[in-house]
Amino acid sequence: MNFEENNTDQINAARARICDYYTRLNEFFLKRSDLLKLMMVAAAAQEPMLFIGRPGTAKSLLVSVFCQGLGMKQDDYFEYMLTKFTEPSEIMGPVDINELKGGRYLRKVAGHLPTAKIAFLDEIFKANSAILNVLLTVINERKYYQEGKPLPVPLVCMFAASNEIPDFGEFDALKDRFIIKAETLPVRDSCFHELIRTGISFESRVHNREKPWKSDCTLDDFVLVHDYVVSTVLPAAVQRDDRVILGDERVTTAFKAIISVLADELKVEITDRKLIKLYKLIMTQAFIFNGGNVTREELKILCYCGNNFSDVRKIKDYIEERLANLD
Amino acid sequence: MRFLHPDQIAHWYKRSLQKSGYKELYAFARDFWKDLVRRGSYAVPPGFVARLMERFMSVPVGEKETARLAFVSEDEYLEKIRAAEGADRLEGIFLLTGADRDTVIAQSIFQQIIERLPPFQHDDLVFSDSDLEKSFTLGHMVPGGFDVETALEKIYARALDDFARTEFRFYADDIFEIGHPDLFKRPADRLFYRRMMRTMKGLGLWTRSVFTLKEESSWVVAKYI
Repeated sequence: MNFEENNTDQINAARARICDYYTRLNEFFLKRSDLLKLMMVAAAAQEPMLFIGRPGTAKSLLVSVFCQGLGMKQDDYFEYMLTKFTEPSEIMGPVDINELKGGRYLRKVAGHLPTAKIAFLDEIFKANSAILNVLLTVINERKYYQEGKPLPVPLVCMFAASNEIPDFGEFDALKDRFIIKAETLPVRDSCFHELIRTGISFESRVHNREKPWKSDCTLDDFVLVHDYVVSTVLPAAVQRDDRVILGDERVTTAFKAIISVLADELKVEITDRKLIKLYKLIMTQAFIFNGGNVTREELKILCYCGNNFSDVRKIKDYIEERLANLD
Repeated sequence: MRFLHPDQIAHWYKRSLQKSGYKELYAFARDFWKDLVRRGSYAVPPGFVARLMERFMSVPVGEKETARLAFVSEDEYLEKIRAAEGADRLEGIFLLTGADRDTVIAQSIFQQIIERLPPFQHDDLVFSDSDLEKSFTLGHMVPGGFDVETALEKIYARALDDFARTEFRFYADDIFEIGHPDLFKRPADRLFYRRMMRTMKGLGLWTRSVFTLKEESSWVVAKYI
C-alpha cells in the first residue's frame, strides 16, 4: 500500500486516537497500564498476545472492555473458553448439514473464529491437537480451509489467556507464535481499597449497561496504523546502518545486548521469528506512542518475550533493572 | 632482575600516556592502572588502559594532548580486541550495567576484560609498590637508560603475537563473568566456578544430559549483577 502525503494526516489522527484510547482505558483499571499498552501495540502490529495469570486477575475483562471501547460489532469479536474436549466445530463453526447432504464439507463460519476481527481464546493451552493445527494456520497465515481451499480470515488480533504455560513439546509452535506473554498479577495487596471501589464501579456499570470506555477510536485506526508501519515505517527503518537499526546507537546496542543475555545466559529461546517480531513490535510501539523514537520504554517489550512461566517472571525484573541504566 | 627507579617509572608512565594521546589520567583511571600493576601486570601500558576505557565509557578518562601522533601497534592491538569474536557484546555490558558512566562499576568490568587478554610482558618493567607511589610524587621524570618507545613496541609486538597464536576470543563464559564482575567475592570462588564450568563442558562432550547447574545459572544471572 502506498501512502500519499495527504494520508499522513489520517494516520497521525489514527495514532492520536489510539493514544487517547490508551489513556482513557487506563482510568478504568488498576495497575494495568503496561498490559493495556501491550494490547494497543499487539493490535496495531497484528501480533497475538497471551495473558498468563490466576483466575480473577482481569484477563478477559481487559479484552472485553478493549473491544467494547472500539465499538466492535458482535460478529467481529469471537470469545471462547477451550477445554481438552473442545472440537474444531466449536471454534471454526459447525459443518453445514444441508451442504453435506449435497456432498460438500463446508462449515457455517458466521460468528466464529474465521469471521472474527478480534478473538479471545481462554485457556488456550487446554486445546487438543486438532484445534492447535487450526489455530496455527489462522494465527500465522491468516487463513482457514473450506473443502481444502484456503480462505482468508479478517483477524486483526488474537488475544489468549492461560493459567499456565505448559512445557510439552506439542505447544512449542503455538508458544512461539505468541511473542508477547504478559502476566496479570493480583493487585489486592498493593491497592486493597481502590480495588474494591474500582471493582464495584465496574459491576454497577455492567448492571446499568453503561460503557464509559467507548471512544472514537475504532479497529480501523489500528488497521490503518498497521498498514502504514508495515509498508512505510519498517522498510525505511531497516535501511539504516546496523548500529542504528533502532534509530539510536545506544538503544540498538542495548537491544542486541539484552537479546544475547536472554538467549545465552537466561536460556530464553529466541527464535529467528521471535527476533523479527520483537523488532516489529518495538518499532510499532515507538510509532504510536513516541513519534517513531525508540527509547528504553519501547525496549520494555523484551520483558514479555519469555517462552514459559518461569521466563516471564525471571526476565521482567532483570530487563527493567538493566534498562534503568540506559538513560 | 633490575627494578626501575621511581623517576624511570614516572618516565614510563608519562611517555606511554603521551604516545597514546594523553597528558594525564583522571584519578579513577590512574588508580585503576596502579591497581593492575599491583596485581602483577607491570607491563600494561597506562596509555593502553586509557584508550581501552575511553572506547567503552561515555565519560572522559584523562586530559588529552592537543594532537596525537599515530601509534600503529597500539591502534592495531585495540582494533584486534574490538574485532575479536564476542567483543561486540562488551559495549552492551557497559550500557546495561551503567558502567559506561559509573567509574566504580567500570573498573571491575575492565579488570575482568584485561584479565582475559594475553598478559602484557616486558622483562625490564618490574618495580615495587613503594617506588610506584613515589614516582607520582616526583616533579621530574628521567629516562635513566630506559627507552619507552622500544619497550612499548616490544610489548605490543608480543601481545599481538600472543593474541594471534591463542586465537583470542571472548567465550560465552567470559562474557558472563565480565558482565557480572562482583558475582564472586573471593578469587577462590571464581577459580572454582571456572573449573566447574570447564568440567561441565568436558562432560558435555560425552553425555546428553542437561546439568542442573546450567539451568540454575540463568537464575544467578537474573538475580545478581
